[in-house]
Amino acid sequence: MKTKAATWECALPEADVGNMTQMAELLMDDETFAGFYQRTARPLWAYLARVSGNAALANDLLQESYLRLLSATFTADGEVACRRYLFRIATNLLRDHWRHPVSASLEELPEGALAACDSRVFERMDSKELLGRAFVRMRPRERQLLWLAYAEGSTHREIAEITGLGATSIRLLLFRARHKLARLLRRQNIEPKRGT
Amino acid sequence: MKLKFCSREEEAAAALLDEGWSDANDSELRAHIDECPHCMDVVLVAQALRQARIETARAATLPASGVLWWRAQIRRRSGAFERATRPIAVVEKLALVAVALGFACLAAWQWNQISDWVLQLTYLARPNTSLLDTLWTPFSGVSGWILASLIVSLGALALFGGLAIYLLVEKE
Repeated sequence: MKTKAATWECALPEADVGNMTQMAELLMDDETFAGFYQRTARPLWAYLARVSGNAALANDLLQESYLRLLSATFTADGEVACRRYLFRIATNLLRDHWRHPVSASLEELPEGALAACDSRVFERMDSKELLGRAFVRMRPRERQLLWLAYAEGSTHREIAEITGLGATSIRLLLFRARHKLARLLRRQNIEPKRGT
Repeated sequence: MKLKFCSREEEAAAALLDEGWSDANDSELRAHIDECPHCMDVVLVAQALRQARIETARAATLPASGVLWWRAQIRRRSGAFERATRPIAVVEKLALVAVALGFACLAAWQWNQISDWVLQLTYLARPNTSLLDTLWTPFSGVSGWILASLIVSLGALALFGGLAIYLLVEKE
């Protein structure tokens, strides 16, 4: 007969302990997670840092995103789905961070409200100064959409899934945001590079 | 703003994402991009963002994956433990409320004696008053078993109340 170790588990009903062990299982094992993390952490950090304009916040939200992903009861359907889910968690965390008692939506935040307190950090990162100050002058929602579409290469449907916006409105929002950023970039005398 | 979409925007973005505009094999697409202001916007924005992505990702200082996995495991376990022990926490709170209510009822029941006893405490300041006599006076008319049960009840209340408070404080 198997004897039970003298732990707190002994004080709980048998069924609950079994259930708890099931609940305590993480989404991935250590090794799988290490690989997934290796492939996704830098893009996720870049997304968080660029959209929030705050590198320290990006560090915090990155860790929280992975912790929530691992603890989720989400049924992973391949790495692509996991990655999308991770970006969705990160997006929700960003929104929660920005949520104001009055304005709950990213749309309602004023331009430059989140303009990076550490924008100089990002300017240093842009060795070729392509984005320059233009990106921090965009609304957070615009930054989010542009980053997902053109930096991450996500489709409209994926962006809708990550941001929680309607798939049909993505095209229009993206068009406006892109037009605005292009105008701002041109004001900085930045033109498309036509090859080497 | 006049909304005019180009049907080849996505194609232009995809070509840029996969190979880079300069290397795109489709010369017809390149010619179109040169002519189309919308696709030119796509290329300009996509180039800037792709470059920023590379630079930003390079600048990231990330924690080790093992640390995050370990933290997630601890969080998950403590969450599961909390869910499993939630009924115990509820019973603890109920016990605390019951103890507080019992104490209030007892105080109401013995209010006359307690108030007399409190009043008698004021006489303690008098130099000729015996301390024991003063404390005993309000209980002199009460029968022995009531007094004994009162003392036992107060003791039990103090013990279990203290225990309940300790458990709640420790948990938090």
